[in-house]
This record gives sequence, structure tokens and C-alpha cells, in this order.
Amino acid sequence: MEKQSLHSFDEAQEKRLRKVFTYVKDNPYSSVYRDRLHGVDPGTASTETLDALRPVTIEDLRSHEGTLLHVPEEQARYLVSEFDNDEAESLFLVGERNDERWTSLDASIREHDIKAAVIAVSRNWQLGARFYETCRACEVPCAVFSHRDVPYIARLIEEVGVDLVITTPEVARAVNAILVEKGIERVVKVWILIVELGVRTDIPELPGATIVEHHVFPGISVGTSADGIHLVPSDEYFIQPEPGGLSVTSLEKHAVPFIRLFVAGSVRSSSGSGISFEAHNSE
Amino acid sequence: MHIGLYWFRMFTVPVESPDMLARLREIFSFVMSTEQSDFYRNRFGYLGFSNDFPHSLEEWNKLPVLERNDIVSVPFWDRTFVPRSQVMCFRHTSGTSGRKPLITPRRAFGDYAAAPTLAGVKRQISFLYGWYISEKARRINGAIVMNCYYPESVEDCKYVTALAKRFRPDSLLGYPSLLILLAPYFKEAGILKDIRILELNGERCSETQREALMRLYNNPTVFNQFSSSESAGVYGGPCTKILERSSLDFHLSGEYLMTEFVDPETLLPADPRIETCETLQTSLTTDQPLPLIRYRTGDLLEASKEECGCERGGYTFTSHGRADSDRVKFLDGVIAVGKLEEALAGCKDSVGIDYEAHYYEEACEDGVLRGRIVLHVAPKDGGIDLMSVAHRIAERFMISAILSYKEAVEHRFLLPLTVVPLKRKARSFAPKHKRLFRHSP
Repeated sequence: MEKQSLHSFDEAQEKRLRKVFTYVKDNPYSSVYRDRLHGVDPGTASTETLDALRPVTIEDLRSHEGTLLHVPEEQARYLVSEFDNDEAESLFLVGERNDERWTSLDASIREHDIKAAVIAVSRNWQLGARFYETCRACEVPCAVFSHRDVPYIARLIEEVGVDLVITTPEVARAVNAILVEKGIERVVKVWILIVELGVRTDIPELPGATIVEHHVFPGISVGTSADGIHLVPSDEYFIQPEPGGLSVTSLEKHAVPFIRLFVAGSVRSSSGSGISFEAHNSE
Repeated sequence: MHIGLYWFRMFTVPVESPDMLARLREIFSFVMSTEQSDFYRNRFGYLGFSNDFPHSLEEWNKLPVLERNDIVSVPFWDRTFVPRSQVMCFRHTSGTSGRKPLITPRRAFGDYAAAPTLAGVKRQISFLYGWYISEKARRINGAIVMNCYYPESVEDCKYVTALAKRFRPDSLLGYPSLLILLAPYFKEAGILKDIRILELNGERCSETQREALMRLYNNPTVFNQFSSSESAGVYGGPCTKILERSSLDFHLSGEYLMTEFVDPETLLPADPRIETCETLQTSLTTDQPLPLIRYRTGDLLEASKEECGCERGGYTFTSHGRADSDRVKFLDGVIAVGKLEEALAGCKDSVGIDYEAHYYEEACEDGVLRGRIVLHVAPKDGGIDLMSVAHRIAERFMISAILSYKEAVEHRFLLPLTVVPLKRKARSFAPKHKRLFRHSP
């Protein structure tokens, strides 16, 4: 399949890419990209440089001996690689900086004048701390609930007046059903739904604004969509269709940066309005 | 074990005896006069207390006890005592008591001391709700925290083990029964030996469980926390002397809360050095989003006969669980569940270490709900005479070891005990059912 750029890799992005290459090459904390970037001059790196690098697979990250963190451990929070509990064999740790803020949450709070927020995802995803810190920075009261507590989530929305919910499509559907029964479904102004990149997911019809975040690992959003299908890449990542899938490259100094991280699947379409991608083994 | 922590001074530093009456007057005056909420005015206004109430602790004791339903029935913001802008997060109580969970407001992190972490803990896995608040406290102490669900299946246990294998914790924070459950998985994965500190919270730890934890984790430091979701979180913990003897006892902090001890049946003041008491909590600071006034916790405590003798001084306390779930109440009395477990443990010659106890209420022929205890046991070796085990245990408690309630009534034993084979699979719980305890290798 002919390589296509999802969006033009402009001069500003090339500059950011060089900073990332400088950051990862000879990084004192992680050697995961050391061999790949051997001989690469970060100062002159370009899209051609990126294209010439062998893609990194998720299996490469999993099997790397040593940490994937490119920052001191005390500056990071660990995240997990798996969305489901039945993937224990393949689990490994990725991470984020412990001052990381939730960009779409922050933006939604400001745009919609959010009064209170709740996150209801698997606790194993380790997202409570970032959610809590982002809400505190925006001075919005919040709650970290379990995705299993559907009735309590609905009760919280009703009792407190929560108007932003971060959860999965399945939980959102269940919570919204309770809210509809109570006639208060319009209380929630914003739903942020987390889906696994490339996994086909039914997005429920919800009142209010719906933002679907596509996560390559739980907590690592590489883009958003309104319909759950056409992914618009985050400003922090460069996403490019590849033969047999797509690749993700960090444009920021993430705690665990990606340099052409390959995700196997099928790119259905790729245009200015987004990329439609389905991962292999998507059910 | 050196204990030098942010906040831990509550349990180790000598405490001056506070002027409790003055503090009670202050908090009472606040809740009755604040413009933020009418909650306590509506509750106490008709009683006509004077402005300098209480004049004595005896007078204070006459104040009606606050129950959870009294709070839940009031709209959330009507019972919040700080401006909305000062509420930073919401918690809900765990639901482990079986009561309807209460959603409570909390102020910004730091107003409530986070759960303490022992110096020396570097990597902790927490199984507790609300970990994200203490995550920051732990970072202050140089620890890294990951969070896990309470496993509900073998797959969940394998997931937790896989995560722990990658993360290599030296400490776990969670329910005693869960830590026991995970020990064999961790041992098989080769990571159990790294775990040196167990912080216990979320449920009462029995002596049987403590012994199991000491054995399974090769004599770790056990840090038993006592906490309340409704109020300040952790407010009970061990001093150095308690840690040295690996005891489950704890001191109670008096900085944020006053704890009263009452008879669980009459709610009259009682002495915890003489009998097991239920605790009532009263907030001692006026900055709490939901100040509590004689809040009935449902927690059962017993005090030591002598003072601790540590630098902090004061008595230590032992938890006897909860009034509504760790005691089986029936017409003629009460059975402490912990004693039931001890009795079962006394049948070691025939009963294995894998067992559960459940309490059911079943409708009898006359339509009245009556209680029944069912012990699910696995035999130690070969067969087991279930009836014999039932009789041995029942004798101690003056209950009937029989299989039918009708026979119990005929013999004037109002609570029957049944012993049945253990089957570890998901049960559908009847509406009036609760699990009393569970023990597995």
C-alpha cells in the first residue's frame, strides 16, 4: 500500500520531531530506541529519517528488558498496556509524566463551563490520578468511580449535578439509560468516551457533546473522533498509514515516547477528515 | 522499622489532653449558626439548646445520634457546609457495610491527611478506593503507587499478578482477605519475597487472618489502619510498639475527630475497656464539608485494659468489625462472627483451612424472616462428618446444629447452624444474605 501522510508533516512538526529524536537518542533512562537511532543525527532528522527507521512493534516494547520510561521513575506514573483483565500474559508497563494533564478534559471544562466531573473506567487503567489533578487545576470538583458502579454513577450525577463523564461507551450507555428513566439525561453536557485504537465499538447516542478518544494503551490517547470511526490525530502525535497498519510517532517528550510504533490493522480510509482504522483481532 | 512520616505523628507523638468541651462547643455553635447549611438546625433546632451547649459531656450525650439515613435523605448540597467552590472531590462509602452508600464532599487534597505510608515503602500496589488521593502523599514520601481492582475471578488474580510481576512492589495496601487470596499467586510468580510491608484497610482483620498473612508473606510488617469513609479517612494506626509486636491494635487520632463509645443496643455511653462498643464520631474542626455530630459509624471497638506505654500514650484499640455485619443478631442475643471463626478454626482436626460463612434470612412457614448461619467447609483429609462439626461449634453458642429452622424452634434454639461442603463458584445471593467471613489458602 502506498504510504500516505495523514497530514502534511510541516516544518514546525519536523522541528518537534528533532527534539523528540534528541530526547530519545542516548536517553539515560531507557535504551529502547538506542539501536534504532544509532547513526541518526537528531539535528537534521526529517520525515525521511523517520521513514527509514524500522517500525517498533508493541511486542518490541513488551519484550524490552529494562524500563520504557525516558524520565526518572519518580517523575512518572505507570500505565498498563492492556485494556482487559484477560490479557494478563501480554501485560507490560508504559507510563506518563506525573504532571501530565488531560487535554480534552481540560478543554471541555473550559468550553462547557463544567461544574463537576466523574471518571468511571477500570481502576486498573491508572487514570484516576491524572483525572483528579486535571480537575483540581481547573478547580472543578470531581469523583473517581468504578466502571462497575453504574447505579452510583447515576446517583452522583443526580445528587451532585455532574455534567462531564469520562467512561467507556458501554458504561455510558448503561448510565444514560438510568438518567433517561429519571428524566435527567440532559444534566450531562459532555461525555468523553475511551475506546481502544482500531477496535470497532458501538458509540451510543448520547445527549450533550460526545468526544471519543482513541487510546493505543489505556490512558494514551492518540486522537479523537466524533463518530468513533474517523480518528483525527492528537497534536502530540504523528500518525501515518503503513503497509499492514499504521504507525504512531510522538511529537512531544512523552514519558514513554513512540517512534514509529506500529499497530497492525487495516486503514479503511485516510483523508483530511480523519483516518478510519481497524486493528487486527478487533472484535 | 523507622516510622518518620508526613502525618503519622498522630499515632506516635504524645498528645496533650484537649479541652474537649471547648471544642464541642465550637463545632456545635458552628453547625447551628453557619449560613452554608440548615442541616443541623433542622435536626437540633427544636431542642432549644443554649448558645454555650454543651456544659458537660453528660449533656452532650443527650444529643440524638446521627445515622446514615439521616444524611442520605437530605439533598447533597443542602448538607454541604462549605461553598461549592471549596469542594474538590466526591467520595462514596464503600458499601461493604451493606448500607446504602453515602456520597460525601471532600476539600482539596491536603486538608485531609492521606493514608500514611511507612518510610521505606518505595513501590506500593493499592487495592483501595480513593488511592488517587493518597498517591500524591506517597510521592511526597518517595513512593510510587499503582492501583488495582479487587479481583473477582481467577483471571483478575492473574492480571494483578502480571502487573505486580512487572512493577515489583514492596508493599501492598488493601483488604486482609484479598492479600491472603493473592499470596499463592505472588509466590508462584516469584515476587512474594519482595513484599515487606502490608497496609491493611477496608475490612476488619481477624487474628486468624493476621496469622495467615504473617505466614504467607514471611513475617512482613503489618500496618493495620482504621478509617472512616464518612469523615477524615484514616484516623487509626499503630505506634512503634504495636508494629514491633506485629499486632493489629491501633491508636485513634483525636485531632480531627472525637470518638465516643456506646453500647450498640442502647446507644448509651459505655467503657470500651470493659466491653465491645460501637463508636460515634464528632468532627472537631469547622472546615469540613460534612461535619459529623455523634455519627453512628457501626464500627465495633474494644480498648486495651492498660495504656500503651509508647511515647504517644493512651489506650490502644482492637476492631471487632461492624455492628451490622460482624455480629449475627437474633432474638435472644448476639453471636460475634469472629468468635464463630475461632470456633471453626478449633475444628482443625477435620476441617481444612478453606471455608466461608454466610448468614441467610429465610421466610419460615409463619412468614416471618429468621436467621440461619451456613458454614461452607472443605475437609482436611478424606471425609468429614459435617453434622459432628456443626454440633461442636453450635454447642459453644447455644444455637442449634440442625438443618431445618422448624426443628430449631421446636428445641427453642432460635438460630440454626448448618455445615455444608464448600463449593467455590459464584453464588446468587438471596436478598437477605451476607457473607460473614471467608478464608482460603
